[in-house]
Amino acid sequence: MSFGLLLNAVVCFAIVLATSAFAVSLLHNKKNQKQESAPTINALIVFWSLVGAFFLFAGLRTLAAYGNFNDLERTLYYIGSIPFALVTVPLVYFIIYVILGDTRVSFGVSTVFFIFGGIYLIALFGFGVIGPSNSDWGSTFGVNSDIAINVYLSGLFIVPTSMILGLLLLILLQRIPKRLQNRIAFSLVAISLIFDFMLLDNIAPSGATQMAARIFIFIGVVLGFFVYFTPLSTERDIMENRFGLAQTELLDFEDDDE
Amino acid sequence: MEIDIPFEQEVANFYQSMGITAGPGDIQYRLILLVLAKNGEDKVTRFSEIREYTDKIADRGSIGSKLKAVFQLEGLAIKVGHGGYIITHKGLLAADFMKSTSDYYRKVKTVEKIIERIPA
Repeated sequence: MSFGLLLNAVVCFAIVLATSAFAVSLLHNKKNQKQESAPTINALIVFWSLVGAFFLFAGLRTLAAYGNFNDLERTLYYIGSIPFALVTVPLVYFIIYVILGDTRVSFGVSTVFFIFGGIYLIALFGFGVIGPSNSDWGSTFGVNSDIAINVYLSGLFIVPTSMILGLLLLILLQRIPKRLQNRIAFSLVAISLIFDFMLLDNIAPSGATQMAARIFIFIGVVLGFFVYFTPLSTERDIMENRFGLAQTELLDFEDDDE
Repeated sequence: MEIDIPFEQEVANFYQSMGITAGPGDIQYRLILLVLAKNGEDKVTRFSEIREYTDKIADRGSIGSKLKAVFQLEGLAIKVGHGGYIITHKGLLAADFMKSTSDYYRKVKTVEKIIERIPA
């Protein structure tokens, strides 16, 4: 029953708020996108919604830990495991569709990861969890099944992370406009940051590690949001710094032409 | 080796848009070279065979003058008898280069499509 647990819950709800805002903004922005990027937008909306759902239950679980409701905590952990296991599905769909541009192949590959997620959940629910063990900064659980941990690490974690890094490398090695390259690279870095720290969050050995992971996740969500919805003032600053040219100066030149 | 005329036209337009109007950006040059390369150093390519590919995009006169002013003059092909041409070693090198320009075009388009699929 410490202040640290409350702070942990606040960080979780901040992540929920940020991911929801991101998903809603993407949904509103959908009509401005090209036809080709519609499936990836949908995948991203599902991805951010699942991240938000996971942290909603994580936040409630931390509040339950603060109130010492152990059974409720365990139930919320189990519910939260569902979005956690499925978060790979839209992510894999996103990466495969970006690389191949084929919705059927993307659907097929993401179905495989859906099955992996299902196996993880069956193993998790079947063998149960060890915990909760509450500390000053968070409430942690241990997964009581080697199968679940192996399925998660080998199928649901290593493969999608390698895919993200591969796509990142592919984009960084191409000669494309720097601004576009930065935007794509940062959005992939944000996804990778969130995905990796979500795993760390779930297998965190202590409350402090969990708290640190959640802070990084929050940073990742904010980074992802600003990549897509950069404030106009920041964008103008970047333009001025990069090209040494302000919009007003361009207008001055236009006057000279006349 | 199949010669895809619309694709070659697309590649030529791509290079023309970058200001490369001769060589890779010239559809007539591309098609003539590819037909000559298709038959190789051992087989004579008839002018009528070249025209099967070029008639859709250029008239007979401009193809004939291109063969004379570029291919024969630069030693990419030698004239054999009446209306026959054989590609030289230099011509085969030029054909290899032409294939690499197609590969580069494909690579650029693939990356462009990947970027289009990422929401901006």
